[in-house]
Amino acid sequence: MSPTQAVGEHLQDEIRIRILYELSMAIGNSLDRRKLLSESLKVILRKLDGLTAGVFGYGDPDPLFLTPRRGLDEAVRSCLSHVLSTGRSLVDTPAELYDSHSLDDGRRHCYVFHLPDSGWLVLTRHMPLDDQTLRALAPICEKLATSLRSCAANQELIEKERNLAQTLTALCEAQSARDQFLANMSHEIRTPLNGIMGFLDLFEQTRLTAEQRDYLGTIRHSSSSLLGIINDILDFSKNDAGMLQLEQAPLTLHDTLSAVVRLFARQAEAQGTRLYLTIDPRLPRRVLGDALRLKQIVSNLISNAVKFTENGTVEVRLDLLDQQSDRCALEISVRDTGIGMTQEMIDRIGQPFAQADSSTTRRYGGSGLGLAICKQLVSMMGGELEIDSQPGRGTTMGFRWQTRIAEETVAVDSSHGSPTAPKPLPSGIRHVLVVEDNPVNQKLMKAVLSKMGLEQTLAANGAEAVAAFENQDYRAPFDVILMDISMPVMDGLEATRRIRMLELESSGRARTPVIALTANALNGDRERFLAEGMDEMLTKPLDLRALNDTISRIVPNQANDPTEE
Amino acid sequence: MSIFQFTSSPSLPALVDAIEKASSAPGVRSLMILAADGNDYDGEALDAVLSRVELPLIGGIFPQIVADSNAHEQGAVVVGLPQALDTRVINGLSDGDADFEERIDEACADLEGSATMILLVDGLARRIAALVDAVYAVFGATTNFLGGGAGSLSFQQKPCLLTNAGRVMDAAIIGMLDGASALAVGHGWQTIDPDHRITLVSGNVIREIDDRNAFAVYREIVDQHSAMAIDADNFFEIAQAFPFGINKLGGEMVVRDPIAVTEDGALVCVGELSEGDFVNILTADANQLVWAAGETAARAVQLTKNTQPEVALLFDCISRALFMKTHFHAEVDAIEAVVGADVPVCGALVLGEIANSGTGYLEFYNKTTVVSLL
Repeated sequence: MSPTQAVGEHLQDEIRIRILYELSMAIGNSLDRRKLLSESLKVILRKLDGLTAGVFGYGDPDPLFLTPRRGLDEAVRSCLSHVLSTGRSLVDTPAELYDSHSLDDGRRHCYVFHLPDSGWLVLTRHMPLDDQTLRALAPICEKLATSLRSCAANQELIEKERNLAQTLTALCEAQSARDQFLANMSHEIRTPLNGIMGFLDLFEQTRLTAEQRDYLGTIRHSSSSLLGIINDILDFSKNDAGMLQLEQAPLTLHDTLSAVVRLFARQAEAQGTRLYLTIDPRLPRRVLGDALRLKQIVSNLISNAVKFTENGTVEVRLDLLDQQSDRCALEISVRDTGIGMTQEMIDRIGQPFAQADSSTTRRYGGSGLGLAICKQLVSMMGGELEIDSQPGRGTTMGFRWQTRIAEETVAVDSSHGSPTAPKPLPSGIRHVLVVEDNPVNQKLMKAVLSKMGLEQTLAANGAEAVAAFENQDYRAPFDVILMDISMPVMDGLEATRRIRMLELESSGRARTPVIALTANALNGDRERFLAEGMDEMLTKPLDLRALNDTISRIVPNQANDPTEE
Repeated sequence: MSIFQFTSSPSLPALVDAIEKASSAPGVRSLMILAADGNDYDGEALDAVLSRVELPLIGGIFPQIVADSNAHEQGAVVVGLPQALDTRVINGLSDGDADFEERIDEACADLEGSATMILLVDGLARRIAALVDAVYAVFGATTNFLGGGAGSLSFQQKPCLLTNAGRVMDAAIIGMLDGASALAVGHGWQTIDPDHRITLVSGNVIREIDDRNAFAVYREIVDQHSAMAIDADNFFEIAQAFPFGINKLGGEMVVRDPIAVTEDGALVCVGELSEGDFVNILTADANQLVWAAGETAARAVQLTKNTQPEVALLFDCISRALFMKTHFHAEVDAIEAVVGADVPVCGALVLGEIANSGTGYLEFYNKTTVVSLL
């Protein structure tokens, strides 16, 4: 070898090393297989001055990627036929030159490199590659094969993620459908139940024998339990759908808790259990909170404690943990000496539709929703339902929460008179337009209003109500309208809007109060109804006293309305 | 009547005359029009002239044209080609989101592949490299590609590509020529400082070389070889003599021409580079370039296999001509000497040359000579 030749070859070696370095840098910069191959093969062609570069999978005559796209002529195909029909039997062959062919009388050269566990890299060139370069390309092929495997793994991950997302979407849809179903069913069950409860109220006021009164008591108890369960289901589905919100109104903790404890006194006594309430004397008198939901939580806790405790004690405690200026930290706990629970049972508590032990359903009944709702409500109050229990020793359930202390104001209740004595209806109220589509509720309303001494006209939907309003006899006009919300043909809101329009068109006509009746009130509904021109909202089942009070409150206000001539 | 027409006049009637003469030459089936930017033709009038041409045509307005053994800043060359020509325009060459393979597929669905493609681009468009890659991906390995970037040395983008429908800009014209060609690519630049790694680059802007500021590294090398120290003010003038070279296995280096330095010391090149590329700093004198041009023409002649070409079409880099100044005619002389007196040599000085070196992948070159014999 002459010195000039030696220098020339050394230079070629240097260039080869740099080019291989450039290739290795350019390969494997994407996890998308198409992009990876597009970029890598382009660089291979450019750096190696190639004509065609393609990657094939095992046993597949069609390339995974080929550039240029018209680069696979018959001559190349023919020399690939053996390799491409080999399948995966060569999967463990190292990354190296596997086959080479000279085409077109030596004017083209075709090289086939194995890409372990991925397939084949095919390269064609005008000029042949020397052995040293061919050997040096092995690590490049290894890197390309590794990159292809990474792409495949990434693709697998992407598909898994996509499948998971689809499953999650399906689950959410199923959950949403279940919630909607529960809400619908609750509503459908509550409607006839409201009828039963309403008539029970009326029935109780008739002359009954002792036996009949006893039976009636049982029916009332069963109906109340059923209504409780339905309300639980509705609450749960509302909360799951994010539609439940807590009020922040002043409440008297002592009164709130005492009332709940009293509810269970008789049941506890019948089971030989002592139920008592201990209230921290340092407690602020009034705090801000949602009295209804607080009662619901405590009622559930006491109900459970009493249910699972026979001949024992149930202590309900309300403690002040901390107080700073206008805020305080409180704790409510219900401790019983009942049957207790294992940790496994405790873990299941709070899962909707699950009871601590399926055998408890058989023995003690219950939907399993009560504590799930409690847990949700406590969480909404910023606390956490804590359970401490030992089988055979009893259970303590409770929670802590922080709230603001309500400013002391003049008691508002007194303005409404004695809670047990409904205010008499104003003497001017004689005629009520009842808008109600449900026949049982129609009948109930008729009975209730008759009992209140009121004349009534019935409309079975909003359209009938508007017609009745338009054609009313001005010698005996409607003094108040009881408007159901959800009705066929025309709903209560639309009917109210039209009635208000009619009143505007007839300037001499007085505004007639409209009271919304709904079986499924959500937070914000009252404000929405008032904004639509209604005057008040009452929930079903209709409470006689509430109806009486509301009419008394609304109608005189209307009488003083300056727009009324 | 000769198929080769040259006018040194910048007037449009002179161009019309050349077109008519070339068109009427026997056996002419299509036209190539290469006009100099210095003609400053009236655009609408030129459109009207082009729309009246009945033969299929392809052409452009270039910084300079080559004819009559030299480069010209004014005038036009019209070549009547004996081959059939089918052209397609690919628009939106600066469109950052364009998938050019898709656009070529759409525009060329009914275009048969052929042995030779003339590819002219708006040399001031932003995505020439992407188009070049896409053209190779679609039309591939069995075609000879030749062409370059049209446009003005004012670096103001304007309609510079010529079609039967008039002028277009920010586009590429693909012209399939139904006939064989012999093609060779060469430049003659030699390495004076090898092995510098591009460590930070965005497209055609080199930010770092060897993990250092690109201009700082470049200046250190150039100042060792240049009579005058390079700075931002004289950058274009000095850097003309010191382009970058990117290695290719078994092929000539691809030359990249640095044309400007930014305030933060990045080097702006004509054409893209990749991170990880090793570059050499090159230089040459006029004699070396002239010799290389002759050698390139000789390689093209070898490929003709003793068939007599009608014309030698030259796409040479404008920056190469600017560097060679008055010596440029020697380059044309060298080519003429190789191809023979019977074969007229004509062409354009372009903003980047496009060719596939006659042996492999399609490249966008700088400071390089592409000789094709048609």
